[in-house]
Amino acid sequence: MYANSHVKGLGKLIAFTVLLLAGCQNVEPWERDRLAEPAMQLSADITGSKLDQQVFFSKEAASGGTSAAGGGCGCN
Amino acid sequence: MAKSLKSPLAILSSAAMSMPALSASQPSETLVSVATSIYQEGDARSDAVAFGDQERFEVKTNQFYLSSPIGRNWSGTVSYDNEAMSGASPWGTIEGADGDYQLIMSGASIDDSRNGVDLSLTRHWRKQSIGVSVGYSGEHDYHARSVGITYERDFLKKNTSLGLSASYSTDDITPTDAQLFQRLDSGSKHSRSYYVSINQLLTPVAMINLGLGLTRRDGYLSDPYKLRDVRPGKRLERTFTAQYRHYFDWQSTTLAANYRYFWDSYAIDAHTGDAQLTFGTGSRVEWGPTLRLYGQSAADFYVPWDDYGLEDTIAQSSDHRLSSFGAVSLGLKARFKMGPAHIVARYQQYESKKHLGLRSKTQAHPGLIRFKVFSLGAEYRF
Amino acid sequence: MRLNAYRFTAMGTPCELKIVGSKRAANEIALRCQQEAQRFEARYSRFIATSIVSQINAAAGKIAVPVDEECAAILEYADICWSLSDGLFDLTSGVLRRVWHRHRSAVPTREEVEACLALIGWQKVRRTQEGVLLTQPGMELDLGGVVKEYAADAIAQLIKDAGFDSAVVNLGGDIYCLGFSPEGVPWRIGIVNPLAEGPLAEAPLVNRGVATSGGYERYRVIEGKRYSHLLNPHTGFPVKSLMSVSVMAETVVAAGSIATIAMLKEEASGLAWLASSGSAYVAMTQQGDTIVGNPE
Repeated sequence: MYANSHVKGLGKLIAFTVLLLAGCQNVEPWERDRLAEPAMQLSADITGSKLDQQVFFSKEAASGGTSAAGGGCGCN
Repeated sequence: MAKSLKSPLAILSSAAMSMPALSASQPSETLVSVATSIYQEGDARSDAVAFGDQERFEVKTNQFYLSSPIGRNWSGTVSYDNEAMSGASPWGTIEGADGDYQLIMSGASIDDSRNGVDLSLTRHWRKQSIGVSVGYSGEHDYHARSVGITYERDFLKKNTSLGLSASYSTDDITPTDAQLFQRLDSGSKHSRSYYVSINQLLTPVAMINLGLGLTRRDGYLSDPYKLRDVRPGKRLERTFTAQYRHYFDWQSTTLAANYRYFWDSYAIDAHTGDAQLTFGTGSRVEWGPTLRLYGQSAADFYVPWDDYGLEDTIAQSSDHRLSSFGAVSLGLKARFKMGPAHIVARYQQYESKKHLGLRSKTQAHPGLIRFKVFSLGAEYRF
Repeated sequence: MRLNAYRFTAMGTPCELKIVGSKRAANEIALRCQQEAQRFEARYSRFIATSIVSQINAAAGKIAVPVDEECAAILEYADICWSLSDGLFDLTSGVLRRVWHRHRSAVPTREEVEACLALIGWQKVRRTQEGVLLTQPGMELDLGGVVKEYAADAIAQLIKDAGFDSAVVNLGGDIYCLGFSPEGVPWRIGIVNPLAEGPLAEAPLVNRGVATSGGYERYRVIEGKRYSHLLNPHTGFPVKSLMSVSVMAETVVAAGSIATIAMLKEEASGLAWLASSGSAYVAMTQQGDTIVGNPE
């Protein structure tokens, strides 16, 4: 059930990704101190993110986006 | 080589860490985290309720999380969550006297609790890792079991990382008072989910992560507690996510900006955008505001009120979560550091708004909610 | 818990291990450490024909030699040292040995030195996916210094991974101290005084390394004048540097590079380099003055 617009959108997305990645500079290991700050990590607040995910999953139709879906609950 | 502000010792030490015998790729510290939070929905508007209790819905949650390196090449995580829910929730929607919609709320309060456990184990090599996870979530009428596998690989001196994961879960529901309310006796659903992501360091202060997800659900997907809720037995969900991080030297500020586009076989499209600023990154007090915007279109079988005239095999649902609506959420977060112990406090206020919904044609659903969440947690690292 | 001591020779230098633990377990790990030291020698010594360094040197001016991840990482590290030292730290400068070897009785001529300089220059080393190529025939790589220091760190990591939390690894003066001594206090390592008996200073070390670079042990005397064995790769002549430098850091390899670079500079620049390096150090000038630096 793929709408044509979705496939075209995905194609644009992949093209954008390739261009983006081609344009980035090489970051040397000793330049990574700010990137290594805990607040800069995707896993910055695991407990808080899990709570948010649970809350939004039970109140909205959209879910997921950051990993393969885990187990469910009776809330949706 | 670009000139650096760092001392020669710092440069050489981190270069030394890239040497094979000295580099440890698995996380080097153990983290223990506990948190308690309270979620409160705003009271249903009294003029929007036709029958039933108006007691507001509330959830108290306790969370525990532990992650630790195991030996030189492994790491593991354990998490446990407990939720205690109370309050009334909508059973259905009817057309009111003035042509607007009204809720039928459940009579007695729900008093239910949920317990969830998740475990994971990961094996690390210099440039890649493989992890497996299992999870269980149980309520008195609902049980879910899941397994998952994750693979990550680094390229280009860790400037680029690729992640692949897959999971499978089985959920069983045995609705309470099935005989009494003529509900489904029992139902089950199976979900298969796949996810691929690329993480890319852009500059010494910026990073982006792009992900694509696909989830397929089969089985009983309807809500057995609603008076009339019939959903297709299959659902295919897709997500595209972009997560961006940027560090600003001004006030040591970190910006976390995320976007997700969701589209599924129910014809629902949803956009989610959130941004968080953290001031004082790396210092003893980190704090900052959060903002989240959400908008979704309605499911193609969504109806404003339940139509009992339709055959009960034809898909329909008046669940407000399948209607077209949007929401704005504002929050504040603070972290206080005392050596290895941190205290984290968060507050968030969420408001659903009809006019933020995508392609909305109908009136606002009376079940659209507002809620507040407050949580307090403590973390210890060693 | 007993202190077990071991001695062996590897990489052309006397090595010593002190491992705190049961005799049987310590014997086992000591053997593995010795084998690891011998592996480093077999892999990186320019005196062994089958080493990767000898292969690269033999192919100079001809073809690139593929290298494994460890060798590539060592060369990448040396590249960073080359940049930080404005070209003084140069793994290709070993060929100057030919005109300054110990048995010469006269100072080399300008022409001899210049002929050698033509074969020196880290920028003339090409590192690609195919491997490492020395672009001029006659060029030579000498990884001796860096590898010995890295080996001390690698061997200490081996001991740590095996579950020991107290040990000392000493590879000819490049030393790593793991944990605390059996008495429960930091390991105390004496810094050699080149001019007199007894240590110049004692460094208390816990999970840190110390490396020493000194011209006092290896120098030439030609026509009555003393010439350091450390040669400036730009001029081709020995450096009039500090007499000796010892640096303390989290890894022996980082400490060793900072010390070596300090010794490749003229005395005053060497001291300035040490002061801005961010590390703790003990240096002795040609006059015999001791300078102690501490980042805190």
